[in-house]
Amino acid sequence: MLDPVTRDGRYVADLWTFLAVAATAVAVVVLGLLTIAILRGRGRDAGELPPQRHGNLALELTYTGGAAALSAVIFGLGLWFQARIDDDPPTDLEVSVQGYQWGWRFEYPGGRVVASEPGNDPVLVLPVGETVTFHLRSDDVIHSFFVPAFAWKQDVVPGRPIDLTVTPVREGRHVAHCAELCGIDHARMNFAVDIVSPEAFDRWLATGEGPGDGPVPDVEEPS
Amino acid sequence: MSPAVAVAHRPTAPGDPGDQPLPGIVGWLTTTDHKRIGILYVGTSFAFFVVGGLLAALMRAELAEPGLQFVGSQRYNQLFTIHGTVMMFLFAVPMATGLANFLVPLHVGAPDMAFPRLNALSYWLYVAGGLVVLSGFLTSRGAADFGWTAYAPLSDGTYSPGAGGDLWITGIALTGVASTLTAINLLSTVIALRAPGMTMFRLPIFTWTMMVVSFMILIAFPVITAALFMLLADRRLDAHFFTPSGGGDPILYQHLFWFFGHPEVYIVALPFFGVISEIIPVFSRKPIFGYKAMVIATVLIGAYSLTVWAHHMFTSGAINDGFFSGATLLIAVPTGIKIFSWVFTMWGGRLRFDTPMLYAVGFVVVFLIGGLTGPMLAVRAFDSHVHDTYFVVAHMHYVLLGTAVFAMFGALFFWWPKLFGHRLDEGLGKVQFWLLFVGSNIVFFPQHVLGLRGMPRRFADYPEGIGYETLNLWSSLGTILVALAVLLFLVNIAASARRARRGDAAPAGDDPWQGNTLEWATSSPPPTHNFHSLPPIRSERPVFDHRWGDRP
Repeated sequence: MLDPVTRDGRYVADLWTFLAVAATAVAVVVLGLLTIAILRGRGRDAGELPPQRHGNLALELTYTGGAAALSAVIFGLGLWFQARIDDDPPTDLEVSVQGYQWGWRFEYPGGRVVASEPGNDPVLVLPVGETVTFHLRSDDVIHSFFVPAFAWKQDVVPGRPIDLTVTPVREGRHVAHCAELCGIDHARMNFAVDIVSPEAFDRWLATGEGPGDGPVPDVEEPS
Repeated sequence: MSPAVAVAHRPTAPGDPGDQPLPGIVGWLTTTDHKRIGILYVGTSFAFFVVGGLLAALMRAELAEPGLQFVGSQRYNQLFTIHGTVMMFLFAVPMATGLANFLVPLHVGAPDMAFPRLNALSYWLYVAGGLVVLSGFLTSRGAADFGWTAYAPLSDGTYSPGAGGDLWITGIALTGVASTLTAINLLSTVIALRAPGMTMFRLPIFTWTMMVVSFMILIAFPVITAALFMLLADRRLDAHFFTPSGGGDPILYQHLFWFFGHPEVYIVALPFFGVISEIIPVFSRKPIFGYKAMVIATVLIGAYSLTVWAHHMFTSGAINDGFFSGATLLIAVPTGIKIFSWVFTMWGGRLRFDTPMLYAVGFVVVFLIGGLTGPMLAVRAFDSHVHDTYFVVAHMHYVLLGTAVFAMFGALFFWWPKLFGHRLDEGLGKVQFWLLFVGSNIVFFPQHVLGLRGMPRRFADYPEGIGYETLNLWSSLGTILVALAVLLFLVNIAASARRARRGDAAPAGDDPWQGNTLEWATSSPPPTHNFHSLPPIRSERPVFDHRWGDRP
């Protein structure tokens, strides 16, 4: 269901698949027991009392242990995936990102700058297959750098510059958002991410022509 | 004989306003009777529920399709801020407080709360606080618009000037004081006013949940009150607690807010877990499965909930996610115990599907869905994708809808005869249940998918062509069914009251459902001092024992 385009995002997708399967399994067990209890118990003569069972220690220990075991597995897997995600290859490209009310400013090596303009969302151009470190910063309120196609977000807290490293692995264009409420035009603080070939990226970085041109493109509707 | 016995059965001194109610509306305005205050709480908080629901309906109308159609961005931000505030502070907690006000003294066999006048003060502080919050809409810049979480520095005087924010802070602080006083009152009542034989392990589970919740309120509410006054100082006195330009720290505010905010979720949920633990045994004709395990699970949920707050802050990058992830996942264990306990209480029972039971089963299903996405959000690697998206909106609404809405309706249908002496209409109640169950799933289930696709919450508008349109439309259409369900409940109240007044319906009687706990041992509604006599209390089901004698 999740189809992220970064190396780290694919770990998130795998984790989500596991969590979704586990949750569905628990739901099937509980709703199954509930359904059986209802089917067996409804419409029986209400004048008679059923056996007054106050509990069953073995059963109680079983489901308590089951819940504890599942929680422990989720905890362990979460740490394992987080370690994979935190383990980044060396950085190939550094981009300074500033969030502000209400827009984004991306500054590349060599001084190329892309920023929000009224009525026009900025395009963050990235080379596929290269590891990018974003230096995130905000000087006004909290924003959150959220590219759904990365399956990741990083809050940008004023006074606390922070880095985010990703490695895009597939070309394509994606819409991205500010995910932390930041005032009136929070919902307008969108941008586009354009992941292109390294050659196209180098050409764009040198000349400003190519992928980043023009307004934010339409993106195909996910299935 | 323990001292508690003497206290519990001492009649109130003559001339005490709680002794004989004054007639008419003056009687209601001056009452210190816990039952009347309980009814006032229930009625007032239900009115706030309707207000909060209308705000939500306006939001869903705006989000039905892309583009801004009904309200501007700033007005939209006010809508979700006040919606969240109303539902959390002015509806869910006070609704539970109202039920507790009515039920806890009856459950322990006491004539009233420990401090009846303090009880009245709590109620009026709550009403004042609620009106102060809503009065923000009357100011020139409108109500607070920085979200119910009021994250700094967005909520400070630079980025959110205007009186709306100050009124929001003041109103929340007032309701916080009200909740704190009620917590003291409830704890004193349970500890000091239990009837002879009512040991702690014979208390109804609902009363246990209110004990635990009261402890949590005493720990959590002073922290939010302090945080709010620091915020007010930042806004009005340039204090720089949370503004980085003056050396303050926005993360500090988040710690303080969520140290309150996460226990708050359980302060809302636990009383309604208690409600369900009262309803399911009665309509299954069995004792609650694993009474002591239920009590221990309640205490553990309360304790753990105080240790997990920073899971709301994973994406800030400023906390130790391993600790908070583990602590959060730990809560799944006592919560799982509760769910299995409800299911196994029904197992082998003789089930009657009167309206309260319908809502109780609906609660289990809805809460289960919300409960299953909770552990997912406890994992930072997944939370970093869905945090602050509609996935979280779906999660919290399944949890809160299950507890504060489904369990609330179950409670109202269950205890209405005790509150007012007549039943609500069963037929209308069942239609309402199905409207609400189907409608709320249409509203909230698609929001999981919206969040996975990346739609952030608190968005007045959303881009076209990236998979947000269809599901938003479904979510908005489902709102119509939910609104009809609430409307039908109001119709039910009016129709049932009219039928009872005309004598078209038989009185409910003292014990219409064959209940277990002491409120069913007195008249409906109970006399001013609750009981003329008490049955012997030898288990957590004294009325059941009394009805069935020595049968198993």
